[in-house]
Amino acid sequence: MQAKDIKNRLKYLRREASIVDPSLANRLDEINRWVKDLKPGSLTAKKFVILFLEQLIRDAEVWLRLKTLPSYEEQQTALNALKPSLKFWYSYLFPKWLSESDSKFYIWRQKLMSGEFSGEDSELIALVVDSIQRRGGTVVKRYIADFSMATDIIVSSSHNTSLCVQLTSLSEDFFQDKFNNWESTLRFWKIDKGLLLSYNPGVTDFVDRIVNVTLYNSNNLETGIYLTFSF
Amino acid sequence: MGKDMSIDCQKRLDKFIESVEAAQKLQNDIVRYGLEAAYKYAEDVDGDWLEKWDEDETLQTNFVESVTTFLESDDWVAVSVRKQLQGKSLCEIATQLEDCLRLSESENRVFAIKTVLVESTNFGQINRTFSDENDTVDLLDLAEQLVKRLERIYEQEQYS
Repeated sequence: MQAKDIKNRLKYLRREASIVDPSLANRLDEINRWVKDLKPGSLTAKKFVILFLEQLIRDAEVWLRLKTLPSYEEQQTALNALKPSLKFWYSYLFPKWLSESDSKFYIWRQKLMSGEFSGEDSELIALVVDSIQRRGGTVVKRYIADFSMATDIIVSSSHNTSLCVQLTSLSEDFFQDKFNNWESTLRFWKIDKGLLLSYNPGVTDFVDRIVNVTLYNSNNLETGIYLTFSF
Repeated sequence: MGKDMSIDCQKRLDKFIESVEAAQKLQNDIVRYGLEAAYKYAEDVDGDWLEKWDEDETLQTNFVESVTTFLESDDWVAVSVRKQLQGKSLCEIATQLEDCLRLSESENRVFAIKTVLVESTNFGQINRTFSDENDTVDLLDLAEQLVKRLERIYEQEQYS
């Protein structure tokens, strides 16, 4: 597949979306304009744009397939066939992002140009995601959730609940600010609970600890609680 | 009848699940390979596609205009397409054809255009008979001829 095919797929989707869901069509227009104005400032920018667009296209395809199911009952059956974290993403957060103004969206461009999106903690997150999946959990990880919703991963385990989780290696000095920003971002998107994990890479077994706390709280954290843990 | 409905329903559900799995596969590739995963999804990651994202729009506008002019002509392909797509504006058809032509594989272009020709008529709703199969062959032939014409127009636009 050629990179320019991605633009064509966006155009196809935009056309389909204009009939099925105008909020998706508007977002796709906005993304097209955003990409058009991008002046890649770092060597990794193009890789990111491809993966971001590919991810958006796939989520948009899921959304359109869901929205074109002929009845409400059938749409509910489809959503109920998903694991809770996927159901939360496709029935709540993704459509919410489509229909609401995202004040952080245009900050992405600055981040992209300065190369900030490369994610120093990506290796840690890969270990955490792998471990959660091997233990039977389901992870949703999307650029939109990461950049706009202060959420590295959305996790569900054995119960019918899901949890938005953010990881940080910040020292205690800055932690309170980080916590406040994180909680207000979650509240803005009406995400009614969350887990912020602050880790010290020097501690032994911190990946296992992160996974244990995440899986436990994905099942048990009550609505209205924004919980933090430090390792 | 009820059984048919549930089979259709199951097919739609399978398609939906398939698309969710495709999104999750991409996610897991990104988690595993980081930004290098981009090379699994596009051959020309480091090419100039991003710089040309905008330039393309001008070329596209000119191309759509040229295709519209072609569709108005007496060329037998243009006449057949007009006949096939009655009720649609020529500009609308030209934009759709332009989308199809932008697919990189020639074979994909032909099938995408054939889909436009089929879906824009009531053809798809008619019960399948032997004569319909003949029509399908004709539409494929028309799509092939149309791709050739469009490619010629596209080349002219690029070098004009």
